[in-house]
Amino acid sequence: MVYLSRLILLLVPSALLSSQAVAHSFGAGTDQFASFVEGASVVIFDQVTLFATLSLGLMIALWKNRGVVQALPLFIAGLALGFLLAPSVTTWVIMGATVVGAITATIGASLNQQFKPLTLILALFTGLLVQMVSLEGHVWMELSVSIYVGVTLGAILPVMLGAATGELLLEKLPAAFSRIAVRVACSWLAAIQIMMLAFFSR
Amino acid sequence: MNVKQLVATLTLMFFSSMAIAHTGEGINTGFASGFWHPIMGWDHVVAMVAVGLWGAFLGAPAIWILPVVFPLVMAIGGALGIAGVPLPAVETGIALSGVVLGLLIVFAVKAPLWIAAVIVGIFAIFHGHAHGTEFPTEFNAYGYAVGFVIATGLLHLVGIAFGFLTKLDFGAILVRLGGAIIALVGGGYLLGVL
Repeated sequence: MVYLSRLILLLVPSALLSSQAVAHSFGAGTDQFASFVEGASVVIFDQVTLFATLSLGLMIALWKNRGVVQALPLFIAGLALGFLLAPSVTTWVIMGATVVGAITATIGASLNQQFKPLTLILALFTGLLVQMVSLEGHVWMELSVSIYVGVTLGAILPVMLGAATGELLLEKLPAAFSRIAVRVACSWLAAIQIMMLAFFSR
Repeated sequence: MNVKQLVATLTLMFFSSMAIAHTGEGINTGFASGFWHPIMGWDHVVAMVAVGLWGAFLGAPAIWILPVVFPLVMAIGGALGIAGVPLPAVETGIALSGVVLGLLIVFAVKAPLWIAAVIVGIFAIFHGHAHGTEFPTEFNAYGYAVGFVIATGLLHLVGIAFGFLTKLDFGAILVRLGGAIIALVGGGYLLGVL
């Protein structure tokens, strides 16, 4: 009985003092979620950043199983650096990101075994250039925080997708076939990005 | 259908405007243009399929390495074409690719991997250059690049799939016959008959 009365004493004030439930409102009225989606879309729906990040993901899968655990911190460090440098860059970063993407995909297609330093360096540079392309010319904190979060997660997503798809193929398909299938995919990505470089320079 | 329905139908037909569903503006038209470009030209088709077929006689790893080499080198040729860098005898090179690769299949030549890669790579430059030069500027460049790389890869896969016929008793003869047809088509383009 004592226990029940104590419980009632706790529950009644809690019920009376509680504010309105706002679960799943995503900050209604502030458009935070819309800004987040907009930020993610900047990376995912831009072919330059999408192909560069996908190329990195496939290369990581070719490097080693679960290699993304080691490569992702450097990729995120590149994104952070890109955020700092973005205000000072101009349109040249679009070509820069395509060059890095083409190099990543070409190395992924050409080498039978990937090297750790090369993979990690390319992860850093891909992150750097992808962030600079996405935030090109924007001064620090000019945009809302949710846009920055969206851009960051939008950049990480294709890397994870590429790495996961590559690892899945390498694990599930026969060894003689799987590795070359991922390398063929890399060669396609490399070919597309090499041609894009020519389109840019025309 | 009675007369009223017929009149109504004809009236609607005459006054209807052009259907514009799935016009595919932007990236779609570029993709379609790029995708069909290698497929609609027999000189391209026979060479791409030949790469896959020759791989069947070369065996692993060449059967898979050549389709990696071809798009990479072809893209460089494509880039040269887009940039307007002239390359002599492009059409001759494309026609020769059919003849040479076809004959390599007919005689089931088992070249070392690096020689096979060099042969395929040289011809890929010519094919890429033609694609790059003929790029329609009104279309989306990304779509075009994606379309034509995918179409090229699929044609290689068709060749590889046919190449697996060599596992059958009579399959090698069929594949070599395919090589002869490829060489004839290439010869036809070389002599200006096709």
